[in-house]
Amino acid sequence: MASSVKENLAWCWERRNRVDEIFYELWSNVRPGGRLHPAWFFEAKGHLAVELLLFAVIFYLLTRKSFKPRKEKPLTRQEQEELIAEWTPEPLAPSVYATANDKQNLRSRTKGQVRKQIRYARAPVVKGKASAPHVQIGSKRLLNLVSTNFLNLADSERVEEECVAALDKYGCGSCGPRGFYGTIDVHLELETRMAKFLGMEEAILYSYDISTPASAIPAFCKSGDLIVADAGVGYPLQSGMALSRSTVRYFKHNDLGDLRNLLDTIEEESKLGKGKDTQRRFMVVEGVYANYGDVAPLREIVKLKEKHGFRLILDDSFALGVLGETGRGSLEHHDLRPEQVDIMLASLGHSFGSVGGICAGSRRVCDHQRLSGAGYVFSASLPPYLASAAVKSLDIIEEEGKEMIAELEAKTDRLRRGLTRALSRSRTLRVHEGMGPVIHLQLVGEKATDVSAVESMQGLVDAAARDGVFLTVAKYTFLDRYEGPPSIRIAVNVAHDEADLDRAVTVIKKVASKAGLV
Amino acid sequence: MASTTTTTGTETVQGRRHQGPEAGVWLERKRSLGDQAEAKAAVPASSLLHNPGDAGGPRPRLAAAPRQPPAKVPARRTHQEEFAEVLNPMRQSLIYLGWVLLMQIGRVRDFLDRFFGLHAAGSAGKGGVPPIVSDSQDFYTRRLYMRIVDIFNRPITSAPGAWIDVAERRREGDPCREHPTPTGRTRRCLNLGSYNYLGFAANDAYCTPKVVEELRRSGASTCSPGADAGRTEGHVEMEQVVAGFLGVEKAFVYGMGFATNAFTIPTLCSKGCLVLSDEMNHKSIVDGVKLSGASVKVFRHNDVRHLEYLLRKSIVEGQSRTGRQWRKILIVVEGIYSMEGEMVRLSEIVRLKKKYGAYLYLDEAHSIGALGATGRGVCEQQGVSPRDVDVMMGTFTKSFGSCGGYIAGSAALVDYVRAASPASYHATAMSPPAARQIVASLTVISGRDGSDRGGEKLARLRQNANYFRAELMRRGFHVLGDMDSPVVPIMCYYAAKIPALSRMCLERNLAVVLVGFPATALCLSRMRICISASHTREELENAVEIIDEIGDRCMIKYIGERKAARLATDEVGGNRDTRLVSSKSI
Repeated sequence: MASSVKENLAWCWERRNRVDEIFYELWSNVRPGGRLHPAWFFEAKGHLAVELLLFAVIFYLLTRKSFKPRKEKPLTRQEQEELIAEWTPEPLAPSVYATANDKQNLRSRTKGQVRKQIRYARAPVVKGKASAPHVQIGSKRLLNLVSTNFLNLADSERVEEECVAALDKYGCGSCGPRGFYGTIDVHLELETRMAKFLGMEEAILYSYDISTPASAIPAFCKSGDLIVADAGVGYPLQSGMALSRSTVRYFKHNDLGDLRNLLDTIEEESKLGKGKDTQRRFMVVEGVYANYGDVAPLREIVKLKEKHGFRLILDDSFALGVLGETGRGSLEHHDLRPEQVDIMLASLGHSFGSVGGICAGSRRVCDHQRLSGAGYVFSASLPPYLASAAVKSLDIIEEEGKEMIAELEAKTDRLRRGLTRALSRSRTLRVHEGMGPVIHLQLVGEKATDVSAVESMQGLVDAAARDGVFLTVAKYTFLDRYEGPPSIRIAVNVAHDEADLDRAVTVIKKVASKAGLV
Repeated sequence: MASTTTTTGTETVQGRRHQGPEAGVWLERKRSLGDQAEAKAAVPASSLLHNPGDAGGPRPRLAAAPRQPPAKVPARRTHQEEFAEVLNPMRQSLIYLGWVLLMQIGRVRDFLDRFFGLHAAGSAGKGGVPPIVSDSQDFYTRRLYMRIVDIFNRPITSAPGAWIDVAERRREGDPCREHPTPTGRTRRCLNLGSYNYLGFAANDAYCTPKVVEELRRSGASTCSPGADAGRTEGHVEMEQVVAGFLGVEKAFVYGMGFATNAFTIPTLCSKGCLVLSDEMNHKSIVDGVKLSGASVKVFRHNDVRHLEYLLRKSIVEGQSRTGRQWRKILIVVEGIYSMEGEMVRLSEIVRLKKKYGAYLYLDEAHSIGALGATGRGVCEQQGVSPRDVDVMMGTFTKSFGSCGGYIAGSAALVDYVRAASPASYHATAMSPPAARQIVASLTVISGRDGSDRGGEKLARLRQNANYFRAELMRRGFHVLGDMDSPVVPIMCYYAAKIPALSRMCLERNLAVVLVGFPATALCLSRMRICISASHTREELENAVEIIDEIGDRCMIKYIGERKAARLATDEVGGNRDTRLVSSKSI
């Protein structure tokens, strides 16, 4: 082969000036029938070489060791036993009085919280009526600014007589869920009366306040739905939202600007195709915030929710019975129509002087909960005597609510003004702006973010108790997603004397200045 | 009355058929159930039934049934297997066919409504807002539940004692939309629906005066959470009494049973923890686990082998994505499963929990007060020390006629739960009179009130429950649950039988509870009866007669009568702990 190439090259060299000849020779080799043409190659059994090569490749591929990830042997019984023996679970409950061993197991957030809650857990034990304007703790009689018995109905004689009658007639417990003979006529009466009082189509009664939002919200909000919530809402609402598995987005507490921005963002996102058309949207707010004592700007919120196609879930626990001229709560205070609030929740444990929770709304909203509200379907109903108590309280509010609420408002104003004046020079302690009979004394400035903030507030409370005024710190658990700033919560009872309230101001000023907070 | 000796021709044939190989299965099941109770003496069935008139002459006794040593006892059949006999493929497909029919009729109604424009199926919100409850989500309520809504939520106008006044209601208008309206009349019915196990529901001569006294002293409500001002001396006393009764160090009380589970589990578990939960666990446990953020694995109902398999697997494999070890593992079981009437196999689960280092959370909502010689629940019944159970939970709604629930256990645990539970800070404390009711009823149960009413109540409850269960089994009903359990579910399987049974019972002055999907599986609809100590023997006899008659008419006697009769005679009475019943003469 090589020699022939050489010959060819020599032949070319000889005819170097005769380019056309060279090209002709080249072509004659390459054209069909030429010696360099593939057909000639195959004719001369050249394909055998190719086939041999292919066979060789196949043989190589077949015989070479194929890649196999090494199969792990399942663990032997003994290895399993070893693993099981090695496993050391964390203690079920981190010891409240954390020891050295426990400390490493507690997550940092929990650790601080648990220590904080040691203080909380040492709750005072009340002798006699815990809801009364004055309570007996140990040997001391204290002015009660803790119980949220705003209209003093829990201490009312008429309510008491009603309860006694109900206890005689129905016994104590209801011994069954609402579905299974736990529906007693007083439950129905309370539901219809409450619906009428609020101007709603229907109301549904739950047997415990903390379970009301935790049942009502997941009954409607499902995964894929959207909830926009105020960051200041309390734990009951937070737990309801957590159980719903919906997307939850928070806006800054009572910040309408932030809410508008958030709604605009959501609108834009939905234009971009995020979020389905069937997505239900809810807004979750409180009428009067338990953790702040301030009022939600509901008129604006209702406008926004109507504009953006949201539904409003309103927790009116601290407003019902005390806000509005006749005690119809936020609806009356903000002059809203009942149908503008889609789902209204309220605890009966405050102004109604009973226990339990109520959810009011359209017939469809309430009906749906009678089969889907977990706390309604799967729990025993409210003891009938507590339903009777709430009905009687409602009677009293309807009869003389106007005067009581006016009086309560005057007293709250007096206390609020007194406290504001007393603490006007304080840079660390201030009265949070608000309405309604719950006043929060907040710690502001750098002290508020201090680790010992709660401790110092608790110190104030303890000192006030020594001077005859019973106060409490607003308390949160480590399950709370957002908590309010460290504060002392003060609840006014309509039965408090003005002198009592003035004394409270004096005591708070005294203990605060002693602690160096004024 | 169906007796064991006189049978018509067809019944004989049926009886023979049922005495085939399945009978052995039944025997085996019943025997293993019996052994679990670890009876000390075999007492003849007639003494259990306690009514010579009912016994139908001398019966063949199986007194000499050889008692096998516990090790040889065949593993108890699982929940699913128990139904295999009655629920043959033919019957199962008929049940499903029934559902399909009901659904299709609903769809046709939806279509017709839409076609004639009577009303939109769902109520779409204004301005293109999707409806608050979507049509498909609402279908079951609208087209199935609402048609039989009259059998649920029946209002009563009296105390939920042994006899209740059920308000009569009339249906008007569209049955798919309109709720029945009360007519104002009431019907006095025997209450077989309320959880009034020990009969403390109605006005009680000992308890009610104490409750009223507490009401006058402490008011109806504290208007404050337990950690603020809601803890009164009554609450402290109650928690001590409860802890003492249960035999543990401390107890912490919530104002609602549902909230007890829903808000305690999140304090005990969080991300990185594993919850092993029985498939029949109550919704409150499910909610609690959901809130906690822990991972959850569900084991087959009362299946200890499956539980062990899951435990081993979980510990060996660790967390699913990260492979880290689990921070802790919590087994959650109930004492008596409220829809099944079955007891948990506690001693075996305690053995597992000790072996693998898991924690045990025992929900005694239905068993506390109702089980055990002195009413101390499933621990006492099965001879397990309450200290071996890490978290004891129970409710006061059922046996004690009050409200609320407790968490009990070691002092460290209870202190922690009290400090960490949201209910301490965000929920009104338990109403003080309800707390007094708990103390008073516990005083009666433990006999410290100076009478033997408590023991009598406990004995009578057990006797009533066993009588009722045995009698129904003898008559050919498929009854679930264990002996001594006051929850007696009677299977009716077909969904369409639910309203028929309930309405017929109400017509005959029996208030019973019927449950179907979604509280049970689709094909396991049932009638649930809760026995109370306040029922007298005559009342129960009468109720059995009525249910017997209705059972014939609705054809829910799925076990042949002859076989059932023999089973009841041989098995139900034979291996039971009936000491209490025989020692007391009520």
